[in-house]
Amino acid sequence: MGQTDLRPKGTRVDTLNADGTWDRLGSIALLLHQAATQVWSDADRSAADSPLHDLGLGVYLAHSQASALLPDDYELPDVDEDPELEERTPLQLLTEAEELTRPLPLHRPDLVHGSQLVVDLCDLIREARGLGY
Amino acid sequence: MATDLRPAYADIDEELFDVDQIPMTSRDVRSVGEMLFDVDYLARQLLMDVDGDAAGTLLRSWPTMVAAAEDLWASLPGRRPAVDERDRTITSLSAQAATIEASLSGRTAWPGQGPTSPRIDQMTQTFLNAASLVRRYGAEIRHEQPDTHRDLEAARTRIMHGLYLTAHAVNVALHEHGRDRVNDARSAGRRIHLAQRHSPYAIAPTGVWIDRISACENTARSYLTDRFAQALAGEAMRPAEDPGRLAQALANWDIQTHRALARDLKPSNILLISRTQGLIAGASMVLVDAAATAGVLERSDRLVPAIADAGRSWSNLASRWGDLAPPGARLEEPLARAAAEVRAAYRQVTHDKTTLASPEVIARRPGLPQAVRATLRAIEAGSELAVVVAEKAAAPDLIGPARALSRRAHNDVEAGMATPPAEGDVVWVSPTDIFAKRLVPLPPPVAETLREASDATIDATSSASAVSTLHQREAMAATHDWDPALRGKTVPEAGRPPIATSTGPRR
Repeated sequence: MGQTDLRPKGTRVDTLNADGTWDRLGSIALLLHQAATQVWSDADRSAADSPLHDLGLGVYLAHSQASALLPDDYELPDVDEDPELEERTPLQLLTEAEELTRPLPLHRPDLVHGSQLVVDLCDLIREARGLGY
Repeated sequence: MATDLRPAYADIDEELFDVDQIPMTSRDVRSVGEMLFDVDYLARQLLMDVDGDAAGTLLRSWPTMVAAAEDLWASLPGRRPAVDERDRTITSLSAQAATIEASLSGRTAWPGQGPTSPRIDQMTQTFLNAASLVRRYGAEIRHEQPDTHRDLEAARTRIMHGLYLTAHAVNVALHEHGRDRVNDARSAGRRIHLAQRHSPYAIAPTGVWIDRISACENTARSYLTDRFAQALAGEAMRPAEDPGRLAQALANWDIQTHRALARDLKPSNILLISRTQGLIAGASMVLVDAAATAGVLERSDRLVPAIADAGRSWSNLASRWGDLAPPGARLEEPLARAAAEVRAAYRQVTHDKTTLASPEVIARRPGLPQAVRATLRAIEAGSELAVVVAEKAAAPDLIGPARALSRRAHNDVEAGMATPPAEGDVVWVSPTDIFAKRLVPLPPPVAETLREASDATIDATSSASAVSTLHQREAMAATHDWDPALRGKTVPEAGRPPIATSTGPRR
């Protein structure tokens, strides 16, 4: 799987400080936004009752969960139209997002809903596999 | 972004788990923190891979895992001598798991005696190793210090997180197992009595285990989401089997969309509204099909095509609003919660966990008549919502990312969807704005097609609304017949009055 470093260039991710956590969450939000866009694009080419509509909404809501964990003043890393991001499948994007959640300090009060995000991502990955991604 | 981030787990080990703080044994070189992260990793893999075949082995393994987790929990230093509020969840979980173990012991009926799950066994052993390590060296830890106190809280969270993920995985496996049994019975031509609770596949003998594992899952989740007090009061979750759940979810969605649209709303929220309306249309088609199978509705040549048209128009509109919604955009929280509940409530009726159920299975769901009424009412209400959403498309101050709008403008003109410029090729968005990744006003072709997509949505949803109104009365009568409590009573007209298709100016 091709990988793209979504972090701002020249910035070392230090997971001991909050900024490392926010960058990680920001990358998760970006990946999930891209995954939702792609699933919906596939859904729009399918029937109106395709289960892809449901999957797309689930991914977009997970994106909103990740975004809601970010501080109000946080600005996402700049990855406008990253061609590598567009080349990845929704399953690859979801998997990368799940991998990025692993080091999140879920015990912190501001990340209290992180566990639910993890469970939802694992469910979405299983569902995406089941739908042929 | 690294693919394998497992080494990064150790990066955030805190003082309690630092290898300098707790010496490592020769047998297991992991720190306690690394062990807990390994449990997390294994639980995630389990949840992503789980299927119905594993249900029995997972169920047999669950009580031992909880016991090991409780052992580790008890080994953590700083435990208060009296009853400790923060221990209540693990104590409750342990009691639930112990009764499961007692029920499984000596049982010959499913799941019977047999192997356990290697993945859960590995997690269990990891908990035990961690407990052993902490007991050996925990006395040296100054647990009253703030950093250590925080580390202990982190350890408890990680333990409960692993249990939550695993309980959820066992629950998914049990549902899948029930589904496999239903499918096997149908293939063999045997009749099978579908369940009335949780999902149609929560059949005997798995249904009772789903109840018990769901209780464990809810207990673990309550610790993690800080809803412990509500969980104790029995208010943390709406019962999944509540047949009125979809009606309530859709009613709340109606309220939240109107509240949100009454304000100046960001495109990300309009995207969410449009996509959720698309989901409502798609799920309504599934429910109408199942209702026809069940005899709740007569098959109609008009209803499903009209709803499908409405769904497609919402999706087309949503894809255009999606151009204006950047990644990371915040959603209005009540709106996002309402959308999530709509999705969950539909899935309760139309899905078995992550899989769409067949119309025959949905047709036997106990809450189907109420669900059909609710979904038809939502389709009926969709036309009014389309009008309000269309007003947002006419706002003169809409802006979006330069590159996405440039591409959309070019594509719409190329496809003949927007009026071609008289002067030939036009650069709709300046390359400077694209390069600088600025937010720019909508180019004329994009504004034009957004308005046209909004008008098309009004038209499609008005047609669906009109047909839905007719069928709603039929569904209400069917509910009346199905529900003994309603027989002989007058059923009031539900929902809002039907909306006439407008023939005049739309806005």
